[in-house]
Amino acid sequence: MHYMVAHDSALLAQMRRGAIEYCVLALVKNEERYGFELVRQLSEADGLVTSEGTVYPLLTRLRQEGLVETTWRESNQGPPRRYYRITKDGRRALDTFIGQWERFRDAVDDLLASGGTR
Amino acid sequence: MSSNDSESMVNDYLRRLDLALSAVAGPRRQRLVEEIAQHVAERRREISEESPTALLQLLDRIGRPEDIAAAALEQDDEQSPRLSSSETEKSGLHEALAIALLLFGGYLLIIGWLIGVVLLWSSPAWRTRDKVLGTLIFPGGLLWPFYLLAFAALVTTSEDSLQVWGALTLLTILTIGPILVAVHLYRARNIRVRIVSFGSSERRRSGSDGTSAVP
Repeated sequence: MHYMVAHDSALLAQMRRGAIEYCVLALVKNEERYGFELVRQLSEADGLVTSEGTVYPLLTRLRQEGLVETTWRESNQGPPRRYYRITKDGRRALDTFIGQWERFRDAVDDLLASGGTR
Repeated sequence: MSSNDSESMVNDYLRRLDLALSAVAGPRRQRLVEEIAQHVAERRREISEESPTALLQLLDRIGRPEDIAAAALEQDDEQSPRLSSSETEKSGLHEALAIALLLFGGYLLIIGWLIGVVLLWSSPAWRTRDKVLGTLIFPGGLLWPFYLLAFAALVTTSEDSLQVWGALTLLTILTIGPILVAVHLYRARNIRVRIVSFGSSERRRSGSDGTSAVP
């Protein structure tokens, strides 16, 4: 039983790692968002974020890779905020991921449902 | 709970975070601490009554500083294999040549300086404002101080001390300007090369630096 719990969380961590950066890109695809807003939305999705702080290293990496860009904007509450939005490269990466994800998901769903008997 | 206690709890957390991030490169480390400090502030604003327990829970949800640092280093590891080392060296060479030609290219029939400008503008390692600076201060680089010196050598008879001082000032500006800009470009380039070396070769950042309206 203990093994299963540990195994489940490791499995989830692996799946999360592959998908989360594209979830971030999807969140900033149509509108820009600031860091806190992004992290809050991600952590509301079940199982996607274990600790909120670990999303920020991901954000800085996406920015370094040029998949998102940032702008400072004044805020009426507190200090100015750093807003993130997707770049052309980011959009391309997201589109590629969506295509691959759909194929992967369908293939796994099919196999899980039919047990490979079809 | 006094607001002093809360402040010191938060400050303590941020200090631990900064310390845990010591293996992360400077600008990124600073950025992470800033962003997380802002995150803490935003979460605190959501709490109606701040108790030590509430604040502890809040910080717990953000995560242990060590875990955040581990995530930052893990992110680096995920990318480094995607960058070939020749890529970094190549981009470093391009920039070094640009700086050298901006300074001394004027002596190569001016064309050298123009090539320096092209290299400057075609490099992803500088921001637009650095490129403008490199182009405007001063066209021709260190060519003008040379001319001025040669000219002064010819007209050494001038006894008007005002003229001499004027010429000396001009000479100093014309010499120091390009050198300061070259040093600035070199340092700006260094930072960017370091950042690029985190990034993947095929997805190099496209100069979309945080163009900030606020410093």
